[in-house]
Amino acid sequence: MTWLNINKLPLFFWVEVGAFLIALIFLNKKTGAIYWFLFFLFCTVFAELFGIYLGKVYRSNLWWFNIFTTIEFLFYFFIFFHFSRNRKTKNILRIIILLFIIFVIFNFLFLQPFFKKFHSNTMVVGSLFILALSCNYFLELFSKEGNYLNNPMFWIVCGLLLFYLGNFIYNLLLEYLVKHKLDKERKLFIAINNNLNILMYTFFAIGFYVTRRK
Amino acid sequence: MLQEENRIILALIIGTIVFVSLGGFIISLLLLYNKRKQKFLQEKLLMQSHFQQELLRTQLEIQEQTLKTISQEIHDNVGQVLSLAKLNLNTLPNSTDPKIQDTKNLVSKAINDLRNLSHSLHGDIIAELGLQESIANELKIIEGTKAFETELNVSGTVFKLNPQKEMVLFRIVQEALNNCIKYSGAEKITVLLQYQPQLFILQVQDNGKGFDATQNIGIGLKSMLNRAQLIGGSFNLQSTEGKGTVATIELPC
Repeated sequence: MTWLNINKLPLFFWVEVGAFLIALIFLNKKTGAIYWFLFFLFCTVFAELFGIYLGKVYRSNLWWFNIFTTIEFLFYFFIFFHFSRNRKTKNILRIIILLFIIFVIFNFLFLQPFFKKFHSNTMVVGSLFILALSCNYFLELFSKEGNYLNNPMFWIVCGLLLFYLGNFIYNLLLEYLVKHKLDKERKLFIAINNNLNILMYTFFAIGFYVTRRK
Repeated sequence: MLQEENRIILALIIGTIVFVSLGGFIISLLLLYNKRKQKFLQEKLLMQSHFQQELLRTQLEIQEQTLKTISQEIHDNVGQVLSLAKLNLNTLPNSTDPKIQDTKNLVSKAINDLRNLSHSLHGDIIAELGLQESIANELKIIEGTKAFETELNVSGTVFKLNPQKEMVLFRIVQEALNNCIKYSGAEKITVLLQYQPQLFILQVQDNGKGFDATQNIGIGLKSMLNRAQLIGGSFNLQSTEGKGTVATIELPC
């Protein structure tokens, strides 16, 4: 496997693998919809490796990450949909999912071509939806009984909130940075993104761990 | 160009820091709120538990007072009347008549039974006799009916428990024995008292028909559980259909 140098894999990748292993230990069908994270993280690890493979061998992996990040957003929307007890929120989520899919197609067709550009517009729109849904989840949490610390979804939403808040400005400026070939800033983004990934997967792992009490 | 680039880098860093801090602030607020909520809930539960205990204590005190009054009435009133009746029977001119003798024996038995009943109801007498002696008396009364065989086993070095705790334990034993008599269909009832250095264990066993303990939780069983909890003990009931019942109370000392 000449395309894969294990020593060069970023730290967040190993944290991601760690989160997957923790999910493997603690998640089962009894833990409810959180169980889907097991498959999701497996796909994420695979997507990262396949992305590296495409980048090394074919010199282009944009289309692959365009697909994967779209699926990633849709998965998070599904999780929010499943964990919301409010009918109004569920209806809003149905609309969000529909609007998001329409926007992704529109963006690929008219704004950022599928094979040529990374869909930063979709990232911005998806991040905004995730942030709004996270805040809404926290508001719903206020009226719920029980200790948040034992609630896996609380930790997962914390991870999502920090990750998408931290990446928001960059996603917003990505198009500009690419256009002006500002490599220093892109490297800075990779550093920020890697650290936020570590933070998010750590929160995910805590969320999987607390399911053991159930 | 370089200056603009630096400005962009600065904006990126500051923007990211501000946004992540905002997320951190929201999460911290939630955790703080959660901590306070949990503390409030714990206090509420503690207050509810105190209230329940106080309520139970008051109920038991009222019950004890009522039993004491009934015991005194039996002893001082009904007992006196029967003693007078026996005296009158003794002073009858033809007191050797077999019928009068039979009546005298019946009255004597009634006086004895009432005295025993009065003793088992009166809290002060139970406190005076102690738990072991009171249970032995209770078993003697049951054995007297000739319907049951009874046994009292004591193991370990006997020590005296707090009188109030002994009273509550005795009432639990009474309730358990009452259940054995009424429902078990047993032939033998055994009471075990185990005095361990840190633990006192009391068991009431019967070899009766047993029942499904997970299904049938009546007022009597609930009352035993409440009483055990009131003195800081635990109550456990094990019963298998056809194999008898064991009620266990464990009290840390």
